[in-house]
Amino acid sequence: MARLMMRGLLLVALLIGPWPAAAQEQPAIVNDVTQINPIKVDRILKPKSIEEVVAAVQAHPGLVSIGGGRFSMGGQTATERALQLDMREFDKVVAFSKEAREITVQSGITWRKIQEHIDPHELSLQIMQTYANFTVGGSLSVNVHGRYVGQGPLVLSVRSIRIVLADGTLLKASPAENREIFYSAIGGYGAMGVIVEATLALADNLRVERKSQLMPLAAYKEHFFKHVRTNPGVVFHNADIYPEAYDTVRATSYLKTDKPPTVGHRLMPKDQDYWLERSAYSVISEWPFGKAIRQFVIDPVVFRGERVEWRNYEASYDVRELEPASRAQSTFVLQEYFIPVDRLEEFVPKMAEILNRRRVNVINVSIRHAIQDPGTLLAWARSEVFAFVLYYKQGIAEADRKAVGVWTRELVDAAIGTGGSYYLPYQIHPTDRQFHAAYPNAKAFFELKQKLDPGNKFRNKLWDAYYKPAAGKPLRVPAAELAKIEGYKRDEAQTYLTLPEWYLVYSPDEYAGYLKTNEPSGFPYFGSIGQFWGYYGDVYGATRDKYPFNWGYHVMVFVIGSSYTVENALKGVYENVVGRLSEWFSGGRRTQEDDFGARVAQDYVDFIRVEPWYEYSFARELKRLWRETGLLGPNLLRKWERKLILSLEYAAKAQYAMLIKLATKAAYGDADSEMLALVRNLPEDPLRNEPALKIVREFDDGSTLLSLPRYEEFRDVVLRLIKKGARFSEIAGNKEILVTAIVPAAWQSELAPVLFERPILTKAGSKRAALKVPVERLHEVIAQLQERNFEVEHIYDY
Amino acid sequence: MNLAVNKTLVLGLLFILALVMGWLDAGPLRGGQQEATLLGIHATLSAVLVFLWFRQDAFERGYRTSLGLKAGVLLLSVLALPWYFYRSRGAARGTLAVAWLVAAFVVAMLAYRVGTWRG
Repeated sequence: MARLMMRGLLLVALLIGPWPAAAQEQPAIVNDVTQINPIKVDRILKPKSIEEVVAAVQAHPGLVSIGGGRFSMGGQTATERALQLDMREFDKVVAFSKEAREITVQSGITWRKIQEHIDPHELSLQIMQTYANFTVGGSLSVNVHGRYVGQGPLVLSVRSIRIVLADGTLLKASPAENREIFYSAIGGYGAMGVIVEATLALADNLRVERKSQLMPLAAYKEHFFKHVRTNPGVVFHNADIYPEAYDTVRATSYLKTDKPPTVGHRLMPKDQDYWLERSAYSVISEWPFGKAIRQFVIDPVVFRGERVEWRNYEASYDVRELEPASRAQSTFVLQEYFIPVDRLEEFVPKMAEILNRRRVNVINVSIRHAIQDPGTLLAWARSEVFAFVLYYKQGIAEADRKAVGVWTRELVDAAIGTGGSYYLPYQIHPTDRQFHAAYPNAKAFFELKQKLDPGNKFRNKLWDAYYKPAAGKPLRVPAAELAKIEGYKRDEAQTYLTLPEWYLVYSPDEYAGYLKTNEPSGFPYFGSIGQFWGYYGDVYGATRDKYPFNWGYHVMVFVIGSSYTVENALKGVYENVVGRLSEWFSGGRRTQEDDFGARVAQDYVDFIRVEPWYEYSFARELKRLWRETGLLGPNLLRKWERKLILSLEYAAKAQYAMLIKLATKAAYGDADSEMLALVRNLPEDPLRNEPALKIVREFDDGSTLLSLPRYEEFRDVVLRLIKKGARFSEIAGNKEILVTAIVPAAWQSELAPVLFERPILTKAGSKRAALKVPVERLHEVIAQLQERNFEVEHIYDY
Repeated sequence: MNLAVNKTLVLGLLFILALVMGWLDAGPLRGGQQEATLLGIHATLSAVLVFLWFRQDAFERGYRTSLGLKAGVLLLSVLALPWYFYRSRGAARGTLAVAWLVAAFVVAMLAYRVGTWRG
């Protein structure tokens, strides 16, 4: 009967016109709060009634996207060429019962507007997110959570919803009725239909008193379960982990109280300019030591004294307090990770390591808690979890976004590795594999979508990324087109010319390996100098007649070769005179400083495999040497001799590295961190466990243009791809590439021409063979080398 | 123009700086990029203090300093100062001065170590 009535209404609506003219807009760019996801939609419609939504869904022949407050951060509200339903004017209270403590609202209403409606009745929302500007429909679609203790995902406070499906059917869904649709639409990011109404549970609006305390991270879990989780008096709770040590938290709870409020307002006043909060965020994110200033200056002031307020006040924050002065160069962005409660201590160090290594400008990491989700198909809380809300600042340039993609995928892997998940309303960097690992019921979700929306009408950037029922590939692009792609072609001569530079990795690697079990005086310092210049001569000979002379490169090799020569000559003389003498006094027993020196040598090698050597912080190691090794101890003479010589070495290198860094930046700028390669026979899920790999384009002949990391990681990724069956057609637009392998001294290559070979100085019976390999045969040569158990030392990425 | 500075005071400031940096390093500013920024500040302030000491020393000795030497002391003092000592004092007294330089360096690092102490 209801369906018949709806059809009647629809007919009337269609006769009058598909929708009121005032509600229509022309093609437009829609964006979200970050301002980094502009999407050109076909048209925007601002419905004011269910009938308009139904009419639009039924009458529009193309794609439909649904937008609420636009606080998602990865294009979850739109896609190109779609009709966007902007729900923000569909915002009425439909029904309210103080006795039943429930409210029914249109989905475009903001939480703030509901609060204004229920506050006079001494009621509060049972669950909502921290900020009240969001629309209910948006919050339902992402299944938000807040800071409520003993609660969890928003779905737990939803009694029922009404939803318009792809065929225009209007349905009621609840945990008891159309259950499957209820649990897929909530947290379904607009894939199943347009949620038009929701009935939400309410709670008492109580007075709450803030209690805040600092504690080590290690003590937090016990504190939470002893004093917060089991305390029925706690209404809100969160804990902020202070970057960049990530070992201290400020745990803040809001407890029920009978005390009179110290905050005069029942709801946060509207239209504040929040200059103080915004200035604080600016200090934290931009000033030197901004993080420390927050921890030791701002927060102690913010959290001082007694504070009693209404629950609705604490639930009515305005996102404007987070808005920076400008988003032209950089923007504030959120991410969120969900970790099973018993694995908190396992996740945080991993997170901290990634954020510090990738130099992420973290403003805050807030820990929240959520109980298990009751059954949404895209549940982020598959068990009781701690949520880690990561708030950070990033640049908006393409390179910045790529860099964010890399560390995001690392963080997602860390979350998945600890049995957790990540949140979907943010930038869509995770791979397909990561998405399915974090949301194991996604397959069932997609099957249901196929059933309810067979034409894939409801789309947005999120589902464009992960739901591809009939994805097509672009037409093949001719080779000439590839060459036009910016950054595709690199100078082929560089595959050879970079070898001497790489020797400055191999030699310290030998040195670090040698120091693990030997005294420094035995290392062949002078032999290494000879090998460096030998390799330089080799590559010069290999490229001289084939490629133009590269002046810049040869000058650079001369500079680094001279430094290397001076360093090794000085060390060689010193270690063979003073070093041998102090070794003799110590009777061959190693000191703390010997071990420290060996550790730093290894750490340095690990570092320069992925970063330029001059970025290594010798000054930090100098400080660590004095912090971590004792002043007294056995073999005092050797101990202090090592302490002094290592100190001088690190101090000199710290200063020299700074000089070279300044000169390099001035002369060359930042080096590319990625390169492109054309690959065939890619495995089913090529991006699986490959956070640094990206598909740039796919062609209909089965080829794929991949973006690969450079340097050491390039070799690792290439080896893994080849192992999975991938075949390279071109790398950086080139057809030949240099490969070095560590092989037995007597080995004669039949795999590819050997350009030159030299012995490994600290490993008798081994040599380094440099092979000139056609890119088309790279897989074959690599496989043959690995079959013989030879180490593929490096593939030289131009 | 020479603004006279007290060389002993400059040395004392170097040691106090190392002490304070040790305290900050092990306490409020530990970890991540803050530690790196602190290192940068420590290195810059130390370089300035060393340069002030060098400039005063050269002035007292009437040693004419070239632009290259000034830049060297500011940017690569580990190498430039010993060279200056040998040039300004001769071989024997220069060697002695280098020994004092090493001793001052050790004292600064000890001050840093004391600063990191947390009981």
